Amino acid sequence: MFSKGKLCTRQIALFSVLVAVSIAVQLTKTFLFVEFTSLIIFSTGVVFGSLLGAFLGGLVMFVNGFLSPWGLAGLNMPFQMLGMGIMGAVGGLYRMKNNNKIGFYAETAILGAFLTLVYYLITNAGFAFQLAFVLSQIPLLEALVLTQIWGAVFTVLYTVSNTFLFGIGAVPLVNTMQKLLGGGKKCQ
Amino acid sequence: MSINRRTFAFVALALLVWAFCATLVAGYYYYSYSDLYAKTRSPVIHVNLGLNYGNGTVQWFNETEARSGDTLLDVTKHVARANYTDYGYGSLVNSINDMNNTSSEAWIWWIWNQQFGWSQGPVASDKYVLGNNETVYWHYQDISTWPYSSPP
Repeated sequence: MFSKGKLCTRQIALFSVLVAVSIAVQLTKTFLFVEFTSLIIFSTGVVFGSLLGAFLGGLVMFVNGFLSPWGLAGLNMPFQMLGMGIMGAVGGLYRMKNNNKIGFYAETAILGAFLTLVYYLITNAGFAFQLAFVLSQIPLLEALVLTQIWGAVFTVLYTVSNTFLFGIGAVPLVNTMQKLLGGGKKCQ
Repeated sequence: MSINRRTFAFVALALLVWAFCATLVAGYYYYSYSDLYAKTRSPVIHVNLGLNYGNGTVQWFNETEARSGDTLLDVTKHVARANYTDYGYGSLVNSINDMNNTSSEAWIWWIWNQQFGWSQGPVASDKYVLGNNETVYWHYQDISTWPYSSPP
């Protein structure tokens, strides 16, 4: 939405805050299969465009790869960066022009489910590569199937939770960000 | 009744997600059931459990008798003093025989496979149901670098 041309001061300030918030949220331990990082990154993509959305997604998972409370992400980090980068990039491709229409709540819920599923399919595939080439000698195809099955519970639970989270939170969050940026007025 | 392309695309996307999730859950239950069935056919099983303290001391508890359905954590508690924290979706072993995890060293578990050698445990130790004649190994090791080194 704001990806063309240089960013104005207000946009830079908001984007900086979003970087800090995303990293802080991602590095906070949560236990109830609820995570807010995807929602923030997707919404950032909607407001700032695919490039900055993807950049933020990649950056957050890069930092997370080293500082995560669950330990080093190791070889899975590039896959996490890719998955979260897609989350932000798709946000930039999503067109939400009249942000108060009820249909957008349903659409963002479906997009949240889809993008979370894609994220976990990618990161599980990342673990499959580690399993096949680093942790054991299991053939890659077998490792890909096994890791998707082992990770199925996490994948489905996070997909369900993000369906609700995106459905409830994406439209208000995008609206709030746009208001902070002046609500369509020329940014300075 | 006409349906516009955008609505159609989102309905299709929702069905795709549903299909994927249903397939994953079906696969997970099929795998879990097959695995559990294979491991619990006899009431008593025997497993080989190794404890490597990372200081040159290795203890082996070969042919340890366990009940069918016991997890690795059950058997570990049977042969050693294990302190752990239950996080709901898996327990983290904090110490074995008073050897505590630190920020750079921790207890990591491995499983032996005749074909593939040592593989790092795929789930938490309280979620892994042991099978008859399986060989598992707790290794107190450096976790500051990735990948973790497999047992000797």
